[in-house]
Formats: sequence, C-alpha cells, structure tokens
Amino acid sequence: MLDPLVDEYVQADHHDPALLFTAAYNEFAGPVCGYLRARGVDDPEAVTQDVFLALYPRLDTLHGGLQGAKTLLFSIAHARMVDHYRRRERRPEPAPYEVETDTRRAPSAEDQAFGAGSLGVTELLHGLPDDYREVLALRVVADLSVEETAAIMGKSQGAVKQLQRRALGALKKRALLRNGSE
Amino acid sequence: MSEETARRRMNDEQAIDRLLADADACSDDLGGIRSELLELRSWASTPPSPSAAVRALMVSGPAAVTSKLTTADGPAALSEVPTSVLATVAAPASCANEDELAARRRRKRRTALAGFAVAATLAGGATAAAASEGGIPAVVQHVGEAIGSMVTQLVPASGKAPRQGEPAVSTPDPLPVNEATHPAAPARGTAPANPGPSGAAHPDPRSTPGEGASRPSPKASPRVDPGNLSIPSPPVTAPVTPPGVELPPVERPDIPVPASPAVPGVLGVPTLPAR
Repeated sequence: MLDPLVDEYVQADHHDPALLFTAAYNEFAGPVCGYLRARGVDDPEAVTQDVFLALYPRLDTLHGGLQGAKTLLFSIAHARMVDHYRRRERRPEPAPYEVETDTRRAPSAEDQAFGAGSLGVTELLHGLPDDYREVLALRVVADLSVEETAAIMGKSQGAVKQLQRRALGALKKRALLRNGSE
Repeated sequence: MSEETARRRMNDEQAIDRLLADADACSDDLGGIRSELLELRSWASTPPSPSAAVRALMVSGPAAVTSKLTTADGPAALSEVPTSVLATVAAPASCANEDELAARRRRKRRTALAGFAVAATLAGGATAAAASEGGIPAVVQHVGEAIGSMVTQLVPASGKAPRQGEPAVSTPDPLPVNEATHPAAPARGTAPANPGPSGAAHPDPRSTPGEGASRPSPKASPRVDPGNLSIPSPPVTAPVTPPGVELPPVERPDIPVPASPAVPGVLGVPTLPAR
C-alpha cells in the first residue's frame, strides 16, 4: 500500500526532505517500533514518533538516501533506548500489580493450547544479556547488516558476528529449556 | 493484501535463513530457533500510525488524503481551503524563522534593558554620594550628569558630544560650592545638638546664607523651592555680607593687636662672648 511512495522516491532520485521523510516512515516505522519493543522500551509507539521527529531536522545533512536514513534512524532509536534504561536506573517507576502481566504464574490451558504467542519470545529475550538482545534486535527485527550493527553498537564487525553467534546459541538453549519444561 | 503478506513472509524467511547462514548455524539447529526468530521478525511488520506532529512533516500523500476525507464534511470544508496544504512542510520552516527572529529581538531588548538598569544604578549611586557630600546643588548637578551619561549610553552615536561639554559645566561649580560649604561643616556637626536650628540661632550672620543653601537638613529642604536651587551658587564665590546688616569691620583696627608678637624662638641667638 505504501510502497509506491518509496518507489517514487527511489525513482525520482532527488533530495526532497518531506518525500524522504515520508518514505522513511512508511518503510521503517514498523522495524523501529519492533526494535524498541524487543528492547523492552515502555510505550514503543510513542518513542517511535520521537525518533522520527528527531530524524527530520537531520535530513538536510543526510547522505545515502533511504539506506542512510535507515542507519540514522536506528542510531537515534538506539540512543533513545539507552536513555530509557539510564532513566529507569536513576528513577525506577512503580508499577501496579496486574495478574495478567505476572510472569510467575502458570500458563492457562488456553495459553498452552494456542501457544505462548509473543509473550514467549519476550520471555526468551528478557532472559538474555543486554548485548545479546541488542544484536538480535538489530539483526533480526531491524534487518540491519553486520556493518550497520557494528556502527550502531560501537563494535567491530568481528565482534558483532561473534556476539550474534553467542546470542543465537543462548536463545536456542533457552528455547530448548522452555520446550522441555512445557 | 494477502499477496503482500505472503511476500513479506517470504522475505522474512529468507532474511532469517541468511542470518542463520551467516552465523554458521547447523541445519539441525534451525528448527528450534527459526520459529522464534520469525516471530521476533514479525514485530517489525506492524508500523504504528503516525502522530499529528509526524503527519504534519510528511508529504501530502496518503496521510493528507485521509485528513482531507475526515475533515471534508466539517465546517472547515466550507472555507474551501484544501486540507493537504496543512500537511505541507512549509509550516515548520516558517516557525523556525519566527522563533529565530523573536529570539534576536528578545536579545536586543534585553541588552537595552540591562544598559538602562546599569545606568540608573550608577546614577542613583552618584546621587547618593553627592547628597552626602555636596548638598542639594551638587545633587542637582550630579543628577544632570547622570542623565547625560544615560543619554550617552542609550544613544551611542552622540556619545562624545556630551563628554566634551561635560568638564566645562561640571568642574567649575563644585569647587566654589565645596569652598563655601567647608566653613559650614562644623556648623552641620553642631546642628543636631541645637534644639532649634533656625537662622537666628547662629551668632555669626555671615554663615547663614551659605548654610541655608548648602545644608541638607530635613527642615530646610521643604522650604527651598526646587526650581530656585541654582540661585545660591553665584553668591558662594565670596562670603558676602547680607545687604541689611552692617558689619563693624571698620572698628577692627581699634582692637589692640600686637604688631609683632614676641616669640621666644625668634628673639635672636645669644652671641657668645669673645674669648
């Protein structure tokens, strides 16, 4: 539905900030929101809007078209995620107790019948170290290359590959544990 | 829509396979992780709807069309202004320009206010200093100087013109006033001791005219008209006697004053007797 705008931008090949912004939103809003959700940010939809609002003033100095916008977008999203965790460390927010979100309870028969759904992936991710979660979110959800992931995380490409391998291994172990416990 | 979903699903599967191949994962392990990774990947397929601020920055595309559809039957449609204009990017640029202009004007205004406040403070300090030393004429003079300095600061183009005329106006006046008020200084110190500091209480009539003009006593200030404050400055040049009073300066020679008082040290050096 929104692809014609992106195609129009790619075919036009000119530097119109509004057109580039629209194409970037239509193309990358979902991955940005999914990345923030995978990293456990509260209210990922609102933070996604903030990320795109922070992108717009930088479009004049942006190089690389949509691909450059993608890298810049996830850099901003990564910074927002880091800010979120720092803020949470300084001032933990009190959360009310809700039975539905309590992960210590046993799954109901309905949950067991229809599967754990996205909550299962969330549980798997929450048990991983931060670096593992970050590399999985950037590589799987955001669909970034190894080079772009290394640039955003501030690591070398070899370190990112190694980290990705370990993260996948840890995820596999946890998945096996979960399947075995079920 | 289903074609697009299937195409996206296929793209996701290919991306996950590529990722696992890059990670050197064995084909036996794929079954355990692949479904979780696909599930994780599906989080990116649901974009949130743009907020109003984001929609305002977007080009008048699908978002503008939807806003036009929602507002077409409302009262805004009667003004025949296309709704897509509201979604253009021109508004943030003009807002930024207005903000910059307003900030610059605010900065200029703040500088002028700060300069005025500094000048007023300096003028107040100078006035207080003059009131404590020179009396009311000096106060008037210092107020004039302060106004001149303020005008000099506020109008930088004519900054040197008042400074050249300043010494000609200010320097001759304070000196005679200070000379005239110096003899009255001890009388000012004794004034609180006197219960009624009127002109008749002073035994010496010569000190009254100079003191009446230069004394900042609380009783004298209401009597003096502020418009006539410059009058006492001309007679200050010499202690002139009042016109109605006849002084006995002529009788002064009658007082027997020794022509050359005999000072013991001036008598002369005793000469030593010759050997």
